[in-house]
Amino acid sequence: MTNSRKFKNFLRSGSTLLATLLVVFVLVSVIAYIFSNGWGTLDASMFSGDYYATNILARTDESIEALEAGSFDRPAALDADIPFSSNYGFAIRDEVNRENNKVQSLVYVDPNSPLAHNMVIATAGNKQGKKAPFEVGTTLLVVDALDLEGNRTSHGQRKGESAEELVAALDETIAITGYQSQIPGGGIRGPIISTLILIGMSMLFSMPIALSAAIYLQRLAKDNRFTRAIRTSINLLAGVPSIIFGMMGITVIFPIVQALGVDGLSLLLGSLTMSIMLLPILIRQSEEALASVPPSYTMASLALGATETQTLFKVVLPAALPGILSAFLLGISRVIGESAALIFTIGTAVNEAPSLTGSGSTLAVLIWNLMGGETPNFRLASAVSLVILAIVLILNITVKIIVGFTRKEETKKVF
Amino acid sequence: MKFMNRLKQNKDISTDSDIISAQSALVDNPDGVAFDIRDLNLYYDDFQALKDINMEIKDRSVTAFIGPSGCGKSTLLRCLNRMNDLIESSRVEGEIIHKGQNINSPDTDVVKLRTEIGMVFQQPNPFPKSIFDNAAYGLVCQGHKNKSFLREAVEEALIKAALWDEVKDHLKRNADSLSGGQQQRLCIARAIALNPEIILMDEPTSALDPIATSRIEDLITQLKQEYTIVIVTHSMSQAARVSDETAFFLLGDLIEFDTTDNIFQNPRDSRTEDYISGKFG
Repeated sequence: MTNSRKFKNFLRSGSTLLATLLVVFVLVSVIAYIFSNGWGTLDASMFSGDYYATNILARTDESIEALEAGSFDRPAALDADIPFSSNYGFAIRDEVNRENNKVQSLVYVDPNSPLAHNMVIATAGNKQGKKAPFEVGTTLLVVDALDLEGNRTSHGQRKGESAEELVAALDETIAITGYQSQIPGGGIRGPIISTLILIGMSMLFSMPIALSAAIYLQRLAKDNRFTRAIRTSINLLAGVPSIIFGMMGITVIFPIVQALGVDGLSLLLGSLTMSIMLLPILIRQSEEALASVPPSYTMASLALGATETQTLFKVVLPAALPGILSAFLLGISRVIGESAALIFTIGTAVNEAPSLTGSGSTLAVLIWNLMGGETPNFRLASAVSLVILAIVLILNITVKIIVGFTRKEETKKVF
Repeated sequence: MKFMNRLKQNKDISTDSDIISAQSALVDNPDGVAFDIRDLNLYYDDFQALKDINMEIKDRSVTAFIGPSGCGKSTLLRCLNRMNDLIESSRVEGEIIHKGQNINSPDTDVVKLRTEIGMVFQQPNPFPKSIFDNAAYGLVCQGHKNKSFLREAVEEALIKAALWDEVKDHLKRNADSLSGGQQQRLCIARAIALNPEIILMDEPTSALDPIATSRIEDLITQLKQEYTIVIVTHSMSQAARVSDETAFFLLGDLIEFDTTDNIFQNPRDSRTEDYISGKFG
């Protein structure tokens, strides 16, 4: 081989390898970006918590006048740089929360602290009338206290003080009479439930229709102009942008859903829109799955005196199952990732307790929402992205396991 | 009294029908003929694949169809259980009389016909199911659910197909795990399980090695005691070994149909002689 040929050969294999590695590089950087931004934000409370913060306006109940200062020891486990109030037995620090706000968050409350006792009652907000003791994780906005002369003073973030200044000021007081705090928001329980409802309903509506259509096109329809016209329309429909499906949903499906008694934007409307959007992809994928079944199975089955229907259900569909499941998976991935068609149909506001007839926001729409404001919240958006990636990964693995399981079952089963 | 009359009438009728069925049993295979093919023409769109075929296929014997590729032998075989129906462009004229009925008539119950006439294909094509499920498939499709019945039928079919000893300990294993020869015998067992009268074989050994081929050939010789076998083959030595009668086809015409001995030892037509002596093919 001459040198120039060697060089050309090297150039060719090198350039193709580079092109391939580019894909890996992009994938790794996407995941690295999401992880670096979102991993720190991700914790258990995020999955169970509300999206909207709850404000608490609390004061001491009638039984006592004020919560008197005592003397508390700094716990050994507490980091030295976290301010600790020895008068009231709590530790608080400055941080940036999930909603990208600067807050002062309680990291430790002494069990004997007067504030940990149920003597404080909320006077306004969601928790009105309920006990509102100091809890780790809540953020403190303002604390009302009595100073050495018995005068009312207010301290805290609202007064422009840092956590250290707050603790220092409180240690100069003799009692606390009330405070304003906040249970932080940024939880995604609502969007997760919305997403699951939407996936379930969309697939429930679309999969049977798509599978039937695929069976018709692949096994029953004759190859004529009519069938070709249907195929062309399906292919064209698969290329229609999702936002147009969203508009279709709000204008065409909305009156139908309304006639069923569900008014306004709802998950039902969203899942019907999604099912129609999914149809072309699901039909094409299922058709491919059916086409991949060797015709010799059909021939063998018919030659054994099975009817067309028996052949379909006993031989063809089981053999096409892996392909049909991957179509199913693709459909689910589309629902998880869709935002444009949903903004019009399910709304954008997070619903803490979503239902089929109510509006809501899926994880993808939530990302759109988080990134859309004046101050985009990259960290929470990345954390939500991680959740989405995890759901997709779990679904993939589940489908693989199901396929493997059915394969094994086929050989185990004895009539 | 009226009632008794009617009962008597009924009885008379039933006796009549008994006679009819006895007659039809005679008609079933008049002179031991399984298929009486009369003026059969088959077209794929404009192309005529079979031209005026007239032949009688004998009961409980092995009939071989030989001829070069494209001569119509497989097409004729597929006519015998109406598998050509699956090819949209095909059109059949003429009659194939089986048990006194023309199977080409639109009244024929094709599903029932195919349970009576089994078929084995060129490539072994077991379903991606267990060995047991493969063998039981036809019966299950007929609505048999009784497990012990199915087990007995499967065992009997596998014994007849000379496969039982090899698979009896792992009937639940996927049929894909069998060798090609075993798969083909499973396909034969699958057909036998339905207790057919006739088994059609479309080049059943062309995808198999010589040892598997000879096992299938032995099996065919055994099976002809109970079944009518029609086999399409490219191997003239196979036709000579297993068949009682041989039909030679060329370009859609039936050139010669005689006992295998006659065809191979003193063919009447020069084209038959040229083909079996290997001058073309």
